[in-house]
Parts: sequence; structure tokens; C-alpha cells
Amino acid sequence: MLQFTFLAAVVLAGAAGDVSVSRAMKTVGEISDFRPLALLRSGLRAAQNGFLWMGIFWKTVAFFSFLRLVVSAELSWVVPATAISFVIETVAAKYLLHERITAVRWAGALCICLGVGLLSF
Amino acid sequence: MKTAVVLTIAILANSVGNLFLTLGMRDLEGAAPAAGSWLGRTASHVVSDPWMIAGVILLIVFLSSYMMALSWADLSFVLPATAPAYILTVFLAKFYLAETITPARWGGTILIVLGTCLVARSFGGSQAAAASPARPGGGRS
Repeated sequence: MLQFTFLAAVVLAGAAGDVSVSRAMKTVGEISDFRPLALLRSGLRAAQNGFLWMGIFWKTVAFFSFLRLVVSAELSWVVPATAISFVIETVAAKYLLHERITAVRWAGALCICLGVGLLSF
Repeated sequence: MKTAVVLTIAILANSVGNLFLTLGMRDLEGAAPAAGSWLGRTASHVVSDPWMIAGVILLIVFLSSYMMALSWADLSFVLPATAPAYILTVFLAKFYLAETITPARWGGTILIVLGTCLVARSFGGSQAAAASPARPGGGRS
């Protein structure tokens, strides 16, 4: 039971971090210059965006939950099980954002559910 | 090509980083219990154990590649494109952590990768449909 609690923390905090970082990076714009000074400038521009810090906070929560999880569960279970986030995103998109979910995406979510179920055997 | 290189680096850094962090956490659990909360002990272990330091560096490499990819590609593409990391991680766990991977676990992992690809395909369709107009804010965020 504890394993599933920490798995939920990894998945939910990770998803919140992904969305926040994605939003911050879209504001910064495409990185096409890979010289150190240009990368530093992009980094400084990103650091001024509140969504980046929110993303870092959620990623930190996910990181420590992950560390707690690998102590009590096998890595070969932990990492694939985090794919359950795709199912949560699909259900959230359907019922919270009222998006139209294609049959292919439902099939993908079902495959992931079955896969996560099989991991424990 | 640029996307393939950056995402390959992300996949490798993520899988090997997870392996190193697991090795590091097993060192912490094997050591004599120290004073302080689990969070405090773990935070101190993260900055002192070689496995943890290497794991964190790889996670920084992963996060940097991931953020770079997100600056030109949608989250809905970048997320599923890293799906091969699941299989690589299971291989690493089998060979370096001596974990027993049952046929059911292999089957589950392959189903997860397949499912992730299907989810990605549905995003691909919606992206193609939305490719012409400008995307204010971009991505799903």
C-alpha cells in the first residue's frame, strides 16, 4: 500500500512539474544557439519565469518520493509503473478538460493499465 | 536529427541515472541508522554518496536535454518519445541490480511501451491537425 502511495506522489508531482517546465520553456522560446554563453543567457531568462521554479519544486517532490520508492520496491517495477501517468492524463483530459479522446488513445491507456497490472506478478 | 540526438541522450541519462540512484539508496539503507529524519538523512546522502552524485548529474543531463527538446517540440511528443527508457531500465535492473524479471514483468513492460506509442500516435494526429495555426502558449500546458 505504501508503495502505491509513493508511486502516486512520483506520478502526480512529476506531471505537475512537466506541465510547469513545459509552460516556462515555451515562454523562453526555442534554444537554437548551443554556445555556453547563449545557453547561460537562455538559462537566466528561464530562471525569471515563475513556472520554472514551480516546476523545479514539483520535480523535487517527485525526486524524493522516487528515492523513497526504490528503497522498498524493485527498480524494474518502479520505472515502468510510473507510465500510469499517461492513463491519469487521458482520464483528466476527458473529464476535466472535456477533450475528445480518440479510440487509439483509449487503447493506449488500456494497454498501459494492463501492463502496470502485469508488472506486479 | 537534432531531436533524435537530444532524446537519445535523455533516455540514456534517465535510465542510467535511475540505476545509480537506486544503488546509492541501497547504500543508505545498508548503513547504520543515523540521527535525524529520513528526509534529512537522504538529502545529506544525495550530496555525499558517489552513486547519488553521479545519479543526480545524469538527472541534470536528462532534465537539460528534456528542456532543450521542449523548447522546440511539444510535451505531447517529447513524453512518449522517451518510452524506450522503460525497457532499458528493466535491462539495467536485471544485469546490475540482479532483479528477477518474470515473464509477466517483461510482458507488462512491453505492453506499457506499446501503450505509450499508441498514446503518442493519437497526439501525432491532433498535432498534425493543429499544425497550421499559431499555437499561443504552445503544447498542452
